[in-house]
Amino acid sequence: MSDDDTRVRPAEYSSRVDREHPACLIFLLDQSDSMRDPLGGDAQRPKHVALAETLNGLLYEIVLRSVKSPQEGPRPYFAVAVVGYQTDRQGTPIVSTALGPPLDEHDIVWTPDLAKHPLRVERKQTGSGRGEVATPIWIEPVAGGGTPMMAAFDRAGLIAKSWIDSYPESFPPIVINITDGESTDGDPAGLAERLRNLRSSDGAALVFNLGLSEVIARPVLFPNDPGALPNVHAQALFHMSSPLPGFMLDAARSQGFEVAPGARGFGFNADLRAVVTFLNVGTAVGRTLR
Amino acid sequence: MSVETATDDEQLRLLGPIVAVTALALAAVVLVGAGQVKVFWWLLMLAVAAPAVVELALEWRRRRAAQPATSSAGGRTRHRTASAVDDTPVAPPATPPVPPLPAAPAQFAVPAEEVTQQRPRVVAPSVPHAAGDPRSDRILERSRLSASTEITAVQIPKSTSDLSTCEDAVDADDSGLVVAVSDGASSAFMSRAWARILVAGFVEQPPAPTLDSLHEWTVRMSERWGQIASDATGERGTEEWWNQASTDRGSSATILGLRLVPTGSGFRWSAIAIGDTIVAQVRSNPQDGGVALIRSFPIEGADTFDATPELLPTTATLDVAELPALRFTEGTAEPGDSLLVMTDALAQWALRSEAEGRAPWTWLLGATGTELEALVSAGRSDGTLVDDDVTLVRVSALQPAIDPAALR
Repeated sequence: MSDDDTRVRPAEYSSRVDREHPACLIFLLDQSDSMRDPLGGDAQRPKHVALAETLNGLLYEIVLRSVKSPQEGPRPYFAVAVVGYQTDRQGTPIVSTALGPPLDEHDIVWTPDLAKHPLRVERKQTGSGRGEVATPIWIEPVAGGGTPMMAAFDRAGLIAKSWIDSYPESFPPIVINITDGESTDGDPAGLAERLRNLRSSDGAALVFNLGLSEVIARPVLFPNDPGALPNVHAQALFHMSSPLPGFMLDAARSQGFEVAPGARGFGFNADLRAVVTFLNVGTAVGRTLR
Repeated sequence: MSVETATDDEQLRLLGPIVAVTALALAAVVLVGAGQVKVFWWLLMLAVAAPAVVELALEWRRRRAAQPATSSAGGRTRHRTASAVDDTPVAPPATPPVPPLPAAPAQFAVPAEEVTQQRPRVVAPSVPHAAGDPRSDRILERSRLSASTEITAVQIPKSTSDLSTCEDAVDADDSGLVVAVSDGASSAFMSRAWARILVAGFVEQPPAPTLDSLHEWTVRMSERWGQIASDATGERGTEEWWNQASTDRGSSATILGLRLVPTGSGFRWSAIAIGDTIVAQVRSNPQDGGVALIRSFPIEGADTFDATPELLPTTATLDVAELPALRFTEGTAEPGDSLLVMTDALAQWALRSEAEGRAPWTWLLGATGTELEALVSAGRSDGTLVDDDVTLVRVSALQPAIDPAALR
């Protein structure tokens, strides 16, 4: 029905998420000592606690996105890696999965396994008091030592590369790095660039970075102009971050953000609300695609 | 193959025994009286065998009639079907000839595990491909002829699934004047069941095009879904945390509901829509044989489709304010007009073709299920058609046998 010259090529980042084309999400979690400090000035909620809570909520979402029917259980629509990074007392990087046994046997786990093996399932009363709601916990707050971000990006690169080799036509891996400080093992920019150069047929791997704030500050989410950023560290993270694909721009707008074309998957001075928004936008794949 | 043939068969079957019994009685009187007992026994055996002979003859006749008979030009061949529910006439697809239907055309029935008391109605008759046809799980064609409309529906599931997991749903009432199509969200829990509940519920009792009426209707539909979901979840709901969480979260789907009112020559129509399932009104031009788009609703351009269409959620039950944007329209169709209801993948393809000057409407009106499947497969391969469940429903007003204008 169509001539060659009128043919529409599939746009990048348009692959649907299904069993033949699963998506890969890699979270890099700063577990350095400074993560014990408050998030956004909230002393009741240290950064590592808030982050563990938020990620547990996000993994819950990702599992539910994979459930189509009770008979079948969650489908393997997503593979997830949660890589924590810190150092020991000698400053040696510790880069390992933040998930508990038996999920810690592999760098990356499928949603059905994630669903079946949380550390525990807490039961909480619903807000409306209509009953209990199950709250699975996969990640405990951990903090200690330095910030070996290079080692973390190196690990992410290995995971992403092997993923693309296995699923060359899937939506490319999404790597989300959440940190509260500067790297203590060197500049990860080169490794982040190498990651962004990994490609599936649907586009290049996406690298997003989010900087947490200890004090009450105005969060900056999805900027497109590094000149407006407050310091060199923020600018460095900006340059390490991929531009948001179109549907993530839409997702950001639907959450009330004025995002301009060229907006990067980057946030700074993030408080809890900004963390939740950032993760929702950065993992929007497979949530709204039909 | 005709209804008349079936009636003749019944008469022939009755005739056999009557003739046999009468002849035997006469023979008994005459032959036994004349002492010819041996001849009587021969006759008795012949009489016993006669019904079987008649049956054989009928079978031979049936087989001859079942040869692919080319339907007379313009005539609508009426198929008598084997199914109890399928005794209304259906129009066969142009090619290939449709073999006798299997006894249970259950392709569109809700699977047993999803059924409770409120079993959504199964639209009859259906014309699935014969068992053994490799495409039987890839294409579903149905048609319905009522007093004033002809409705044909074709469904093609996404390449990674089959008809048993297709999340598009279609239903139409017996009058052929109420039609509904729904597209269950792929990312939602049990959205196939929700889509089916919505179309069956619309056909059963369409909501008025107001938010209050839609809200009241959605509450009832949502209760049905909740019942089906909790039945399906059963004890798994407590053992597997994600089942209860998914049921609490609910499902979502688009809905496009169509109502027609015949006006003698054409019909008036109205539609409600939530989401990106569209209805396109097209008009045939008898002069050049072309078919032109009059309008499409609720989406007019191919660029308007995106990954986040409006969806009707099962959870929109507490407050009218939770409902997504409801669109409503009305129109008038002239004789020769048709309404094409399409789910998003085909709708986007059709509207883009229209925008690029390659009007697809003549083709869409005439395409068989096999032809549509070929187009969809090719479009998926070259990236011109999104790999999603595809539904095409064509609604045409039948021309009255006598033009009412001629009577005035």
